[in-house]
Amino acid sequence: MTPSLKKSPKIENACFKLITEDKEEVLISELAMKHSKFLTDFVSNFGFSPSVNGEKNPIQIQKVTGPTLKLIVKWCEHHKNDPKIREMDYCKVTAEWDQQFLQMDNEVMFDLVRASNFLDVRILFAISTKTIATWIKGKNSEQLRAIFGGTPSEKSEEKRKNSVGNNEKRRKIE
Amino acid sequence: MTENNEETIVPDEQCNLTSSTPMKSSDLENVESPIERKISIVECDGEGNPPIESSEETPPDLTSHSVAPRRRRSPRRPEVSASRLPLKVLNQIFQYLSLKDLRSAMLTCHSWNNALSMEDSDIWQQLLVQKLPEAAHSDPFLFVELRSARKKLRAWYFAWNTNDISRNNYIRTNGFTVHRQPVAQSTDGVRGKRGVSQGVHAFDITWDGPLGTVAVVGFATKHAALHCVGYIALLGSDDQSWGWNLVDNVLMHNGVQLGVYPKMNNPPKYEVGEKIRLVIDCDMHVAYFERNSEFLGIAFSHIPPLRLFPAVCAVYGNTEVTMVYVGSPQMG
Repeated sequence: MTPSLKKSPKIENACFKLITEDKEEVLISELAMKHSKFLTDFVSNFGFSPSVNGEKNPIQIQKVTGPTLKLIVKWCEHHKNDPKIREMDYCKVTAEWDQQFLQMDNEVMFDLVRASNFLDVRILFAISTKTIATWIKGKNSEQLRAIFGGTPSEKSEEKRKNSVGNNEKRRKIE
Repeated sequence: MTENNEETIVPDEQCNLTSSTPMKSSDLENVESPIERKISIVECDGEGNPPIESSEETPPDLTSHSVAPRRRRSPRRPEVSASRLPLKVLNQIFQYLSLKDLRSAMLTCHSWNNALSMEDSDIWQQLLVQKLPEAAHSDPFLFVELRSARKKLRAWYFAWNTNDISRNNYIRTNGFTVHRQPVAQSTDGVRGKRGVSQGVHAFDITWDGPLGTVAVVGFATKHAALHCVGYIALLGSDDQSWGWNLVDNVLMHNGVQLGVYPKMNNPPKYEVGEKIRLVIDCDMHVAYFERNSEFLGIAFSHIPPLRLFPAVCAVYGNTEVTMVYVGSPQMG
């Protein structure tokens, strides 16, 4: 369960313990945690410090489930030694490892996006939303509904044909 | 209608994320959503017993296990989890999409539609900044009627067409104003980028320069001529166009003068800078004008059900006409 940690000079295995909604525990090192603005703010507000196996001050994370949190921690740990890059630069070319990392099912991806939004992991949020955007690109609405779910209603059928509001898009196709 | 694909926000060459993730089965017609896939895994044994294999299945295994054809499963719609993504997430995702993809997204489900209906959201602002020329942004009077970013973007798509214009005209840097160069013995016109054939549409036209002897405002089909020699009322000279000459207030179509408009004794002369709203009602097959929000009466009726483009023609050198599409007029 313990992710491979870079040994902190002072305390061995210094990290924080995150407890999710479904009672799973995930350990995250301080350096990796820097990626999550939510966690860094949380920790600084409460004055927590890393401890062995995070026993001292476990942090409850409300809205995230275990598997998703593990994924996020995995990404953060992998990137914990990254120098500070501007989000825009990072998005231009996605690293090899990240591409591999982002190969996942739709549902898992949506959970990841929601969790990275909640935990405010900006870079991960940007690249995962970009991935979802590439799924959307070039598909018509039926295909999108198949992937993402959603029910067409009569209203939207009518909208598709008639509505003035949609005209600019309808005419794009014609 | 051309779509400049090189202007998409995520050009495929630069974006090296693969888009193949959801399409685990390469056959698009047989596409199943991920939840359905998982359900099929659970159902595969006739007795409802879970399968022996783990759920990490590759596509070939999946098709060999799938029991029911897709149609039988369609009543059990997948959980609409993607449609329940929070607004902030959706905004971030949609930022990367081109206009065409946004349209598909809008039609996909209600929550996406709502997210994209927000007129001033960042998505539209970003596209607006991208598409509209610099001068259009800084002009304070151009978009007086249009409040939201999305409407301004839409007006851009209906503006004067740089490709459908007489060679003696050019469109100024703000993208919405056409300028006629001083060329002798020539009448020159221009059409909008998009024509309308359904619904009601209003175009605000402002003649910013001197009128000259002939200054016609109206609409035309794709086939109407936009240039001819001499100074004539080109718009309305044949059956492909309908025009209102602002100089003598006469309506023209098919070369025939249809009378003075508006129908009153001594209609007021057009003053430079007045805003004329051309309204084409394709459903009732009529067109009319308004001047400064005053309805002037039906100008043309029994308009054919063709695609009609807003158009003007001018003879005066260095005169200018601005046209902004404002959408559907509010009735009443």
